[in-house]
Amino acid sequence: MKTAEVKQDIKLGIFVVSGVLLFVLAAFFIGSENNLFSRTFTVMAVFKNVEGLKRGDNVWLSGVKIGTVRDVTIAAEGKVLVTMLLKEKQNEFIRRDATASVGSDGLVGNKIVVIRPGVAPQNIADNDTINSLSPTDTQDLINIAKDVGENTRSLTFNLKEVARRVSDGQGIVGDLITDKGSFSHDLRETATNLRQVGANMSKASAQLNDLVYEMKNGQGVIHKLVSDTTMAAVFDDALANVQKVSANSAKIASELEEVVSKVNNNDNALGKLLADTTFANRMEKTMVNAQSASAKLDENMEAMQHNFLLRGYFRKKEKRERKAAEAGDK
Amino acid sequence: MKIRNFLIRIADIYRFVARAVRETILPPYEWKETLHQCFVVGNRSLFLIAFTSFLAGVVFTRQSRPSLASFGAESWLPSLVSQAVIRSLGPLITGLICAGKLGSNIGAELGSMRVSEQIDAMEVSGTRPFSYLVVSRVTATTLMLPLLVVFADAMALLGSYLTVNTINSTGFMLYFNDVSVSVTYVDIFSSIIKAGFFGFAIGIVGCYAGYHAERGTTGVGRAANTAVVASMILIFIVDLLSLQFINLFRR
Repeated sequence: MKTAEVKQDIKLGIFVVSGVLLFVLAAFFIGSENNLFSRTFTVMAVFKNVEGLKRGDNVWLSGVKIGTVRDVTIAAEGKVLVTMLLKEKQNEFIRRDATASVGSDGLVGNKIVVIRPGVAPQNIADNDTINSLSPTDTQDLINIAKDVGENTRSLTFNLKEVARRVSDGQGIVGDLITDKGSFSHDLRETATNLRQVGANMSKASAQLNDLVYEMKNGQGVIHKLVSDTTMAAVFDDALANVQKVSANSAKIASELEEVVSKVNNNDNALGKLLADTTFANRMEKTMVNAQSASAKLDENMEAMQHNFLLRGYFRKKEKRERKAAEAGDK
Repeated sequence: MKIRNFLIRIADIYRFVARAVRETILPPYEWKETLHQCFVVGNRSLFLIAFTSFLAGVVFTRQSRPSLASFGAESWLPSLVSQAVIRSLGPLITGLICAGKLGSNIGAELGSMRVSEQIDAMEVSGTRPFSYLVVSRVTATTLMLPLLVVFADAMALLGSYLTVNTINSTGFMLYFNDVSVSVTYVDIFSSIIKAGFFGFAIGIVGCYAGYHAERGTTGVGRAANTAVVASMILIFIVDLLSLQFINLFRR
């Protein structure tokens, strides 16, 4: 009887101990998920709107759960203070300028806080407040969508008007599309001309190309000018000669000036010839006298021909000339 | 007349419960009998509870899977099953099985003792039958039910895990990680405390029915029957009330 009771007690003890152990184990596992037994540190962030984030939601860094949301309180109007409990081991990956934003872990999933690590040199410390990116309010999104819709409506109305005018052939674009007005005709002609111009241009450029090639590689003067270094010396000489010539010219010009000035002074024969009017008059009279004298001489000569002394000579001369002419005719 | 009887019955129940509570708290304590009753309630029910919970876990998982799979959320199976099992299924299965097994046991035992006038004899001999019979049983059920719920939860989750593992080849770590993520302290503590109330209800109803069994051979059967039915109804009522109460603590 006694041993049976002890056996019962032992069995009961085993039952109770294993039950309690199971319970404690479960409690520990749940607690470790909620960071109750690991070293943690607290980080805060202020959001405008947390979109239903609540206590116990997860905090993610690069897609890894590193902690939970401990508290969500409204600090002031439009300011929600979110206190997060993060694992101590993770603080070396989060910098002072890290940013927190509220996201979702799936299409219908829970809200989460997503932390972007930042680049500042200092690590985050306990009770630090980090920057936050507030999610866009759904109402804001709807308002934006409404604005966009209204704009689209007025835009499509304008487009309709434009399309109507274009299809009616109004304006330059309409003219172009319907191909009926003068503008399209002009444009076509211009295009033809342009094509011709292009052809000419290409020809010209080909020729230019040839010319340049010739200049570079050919035998002509320009090639020599461009590439022959001996020509430079020749040119130098030529230029020196030109210089000399111009110096001589200057000298000649000064001498000519002297001559002209001397001529202008009428104390010499040439000067008198040019400048003295009385001399000119006398010269003219002399010329007149000479003319009349020669006329008289002509008359005298005529008279001499008829003189019997000389008549024979002239007749013979006349016959000789006639014979020569007849021979020439034959 | 009926109302009068009903009110008298209520007053009687109240007096019985108050006496049980008072004698539980105040010495002298019946340690030996209490431990024996704990053994009877805990160890002797363990296999039944473990087996039924295991099957319940398997069945519940297989029943929930198609509806979750229909929108591609099979990966939520562990969290769904664990919340259902720990919040409601585990305590409820344990409570109902114990109500059937222990309620009838206690009711019939005390009823037959009442009918065969053993209780009267104990009162005459001064062995304080109330403390010895009622308090030890109520204490045992109140203390053992929470432990049984822990085992029931564990077995149900094990059954669920084996099912999920067979169908989706989900790993042990993944499954129990999902479970510990989705289950909170509020869940497990509320479940444990609720189980204590279930145990108290089973014990007190069984004892009351047995203690007040009518004379005659039918009295024992009726006492056992009343104990089971009343304690089952009470379990559902307590479950509903506790749900309302626990929701105050949920975020």
